[in-house]
Amino acid sequence: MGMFRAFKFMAAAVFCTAISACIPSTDTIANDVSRSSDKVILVGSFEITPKIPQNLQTSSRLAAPLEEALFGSAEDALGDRLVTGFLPYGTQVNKTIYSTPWAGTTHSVPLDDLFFIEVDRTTIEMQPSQFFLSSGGDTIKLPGGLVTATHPTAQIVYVGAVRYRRDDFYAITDVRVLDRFSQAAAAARARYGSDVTVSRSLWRPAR
Amino acid sequence: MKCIRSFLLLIGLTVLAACTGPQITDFSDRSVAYVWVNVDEARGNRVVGGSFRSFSPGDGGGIYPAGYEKLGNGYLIYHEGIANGPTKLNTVSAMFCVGLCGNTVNVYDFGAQGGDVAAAIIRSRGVYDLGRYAIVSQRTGLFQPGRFDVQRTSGPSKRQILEFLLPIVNEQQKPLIQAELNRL
Repeated sequence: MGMFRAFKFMAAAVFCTAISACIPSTDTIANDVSRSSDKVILVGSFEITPKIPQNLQTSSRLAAPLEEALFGSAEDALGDRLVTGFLPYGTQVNKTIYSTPWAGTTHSVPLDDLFFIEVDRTTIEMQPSQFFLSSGGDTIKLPGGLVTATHPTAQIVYVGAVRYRRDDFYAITDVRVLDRFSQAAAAARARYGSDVTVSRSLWRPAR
Repeated sequence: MKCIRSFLLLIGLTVLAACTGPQITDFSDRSVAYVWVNVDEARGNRVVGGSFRSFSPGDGGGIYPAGYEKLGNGYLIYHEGIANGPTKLNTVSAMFCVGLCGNTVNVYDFGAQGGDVAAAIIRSRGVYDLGRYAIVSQRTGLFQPGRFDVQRTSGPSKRQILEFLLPIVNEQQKPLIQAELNRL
């Protein structure tokens, strides 16, 4: 009986780990610059203008408290954030009817705030992003397809502020990458120390 | 036993009440919007539901479950209480029926983005014609999500639609429809 219970707990733990591994991380502030030369911290930000209101009500489903305990609330995960993916350039993301909304995503990034995300030191492609209008899964899509060639030696790479402009029907009409290097570099040095090396490699369209 | 049944019924009604949106009682700042759709080339030959989406900030990105009626060789999807602001057709649901209906509801979702299809910015109270469209299903692979195309098409005239709507809509909205008819 004890053995069966242990097996049940192990199965539940494996299931929870597997599920949580598929969910984009809301942790977008790297603790420290990596000592490893094959890692680098990307610094940048996103904004949608004009802003879009969200309706992230607490779910009334029976399993909601369990989901919240495991994965956090919808407001924590999606409130004033967009879900995007920073993947090595050329990674193929194939979506099928069995794909979760998180396919191809890695992070839930706060809007209008800097992120500091550690990635492999290789060309990184920003995947199409999603902004959740409601906790029911109603989303709008934001174009991806931007790449950044990470610097060969810098510990931190500034990639720019991606500004999505929208119309009255939430269609994206313009995407611009703004260069606010000095503010981002100052923020990075304040966070990781004045001796960190910060370079600039703004997002640009993939060829 | 009766007590348990009453209790379950009460729970059921409470759940149902929670599912429905707030009832519109004052139509003084509300508009009538409609769209006509043909589903001859869509999966499903009978429309069984529809909704409009409001992009108005004060409306919290509201979804309005719409009325639907067979009209000609298509369906009229309408709502008589739309608030001011950008609005578009959100979904059309269709089932395949020959006498009895199948067990699949095909939901044609026009998405939360873009105002190219059946959309209007409602600036003041009035009657808004969002157009006439044909939904055409497209072939996809076995495990790929379904796709559909939307084409502008011809359908009932504005007069036909307004005359059809006049006896259906709320009393408060009848003068609005009548005034629109008088202008034709």
